[in-house]
Amino acid sequence: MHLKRTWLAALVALALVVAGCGPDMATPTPGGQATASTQAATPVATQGVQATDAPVASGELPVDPNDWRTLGSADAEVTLIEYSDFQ
Amino acid sequence: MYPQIVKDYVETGKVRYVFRNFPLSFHNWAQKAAEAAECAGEQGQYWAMHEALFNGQDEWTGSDDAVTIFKGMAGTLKLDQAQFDGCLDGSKYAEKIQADVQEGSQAGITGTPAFLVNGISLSGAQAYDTFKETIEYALAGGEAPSLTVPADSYRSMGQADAPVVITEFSDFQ
Repeated sequence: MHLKRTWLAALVALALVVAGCGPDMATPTPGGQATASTQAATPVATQGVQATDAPVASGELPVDPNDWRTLGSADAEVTLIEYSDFQ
Repeated sequence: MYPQIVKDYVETGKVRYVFRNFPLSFHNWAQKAAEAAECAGEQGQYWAMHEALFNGQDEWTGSDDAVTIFKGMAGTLKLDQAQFDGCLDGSKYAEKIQADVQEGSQAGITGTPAFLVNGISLSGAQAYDTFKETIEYALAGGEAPSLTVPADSYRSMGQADAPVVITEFSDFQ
C-alpha cells in the first residue's frame, strides 16, 4: 500500500512538471500521506516566551537573522518549508 | 534535510529552506527535542543540534530520560551548558514550537514529514527526484494547484478542463 502511495506521489510530481505553467491544473488527492504517519498531530501544551532575533552562524549558507531555522537566500525564488519532528 | 537539495538548490540561491517544528503527540520526546534544537539555536548551533538529534535518534528515542541526553549533546557541541540547561528545563521555546504547530495545521499539515514547495504540498518522505521535479516546476513559475471537486463525479477531483488528468486504478486492500 505504501509502495502504491509512493508511486502515486512520484507520478503526481512528474505530472506537475510535464504540465508546465498554469494554476488551473489537476491536483493530487488530499490526505495522500505517502509514507508519513497518518495520525493527526496534537498540539502540545506550552509555556514560556519566544526569542526571535539571536545571531546565528551555520556554515556558509545565509541564515535569516530572525529565524535560525532558515537556510539560504532570502531572495530565493522558491521556499521549501519542512514540517517535521525529531523523533 | 537532503544534502543534495542543499547543494543543488540552497547553496545556489534558488531555494530558501525553512524548518518548522511539528512534534507529534505520540512521539514522547519530540517536543523536548524540538526545544533542545531551539535552545541550541539561541547559541548559534541550531543546525548542529538538528543534525545531532537526527543522528542520535537511536540513543534517545527509547530513553527514560532523553533530556539528560540532549544536555549531553549540548556539551558535545560546546554550548554554554548552564544557559542551555536553563533554556531546556524552563521550556523557553515551547510557545514558539506551538506556533509552528498551529501554522502547520492551518496549512493542512497532519503528519510528518510534510513539505511545502512554494505552497505545493508533498506529504511524507520523498525521493530527491520528487523534490527536484517540484522545485523545477516552481522555478518555472508553476503554482500550487487549487482544488475543486466536481459535483457530478464523486470519484474525481479537480477541474474538468485541467490540462493533466491522473487516473488511479487501485483496490482498497
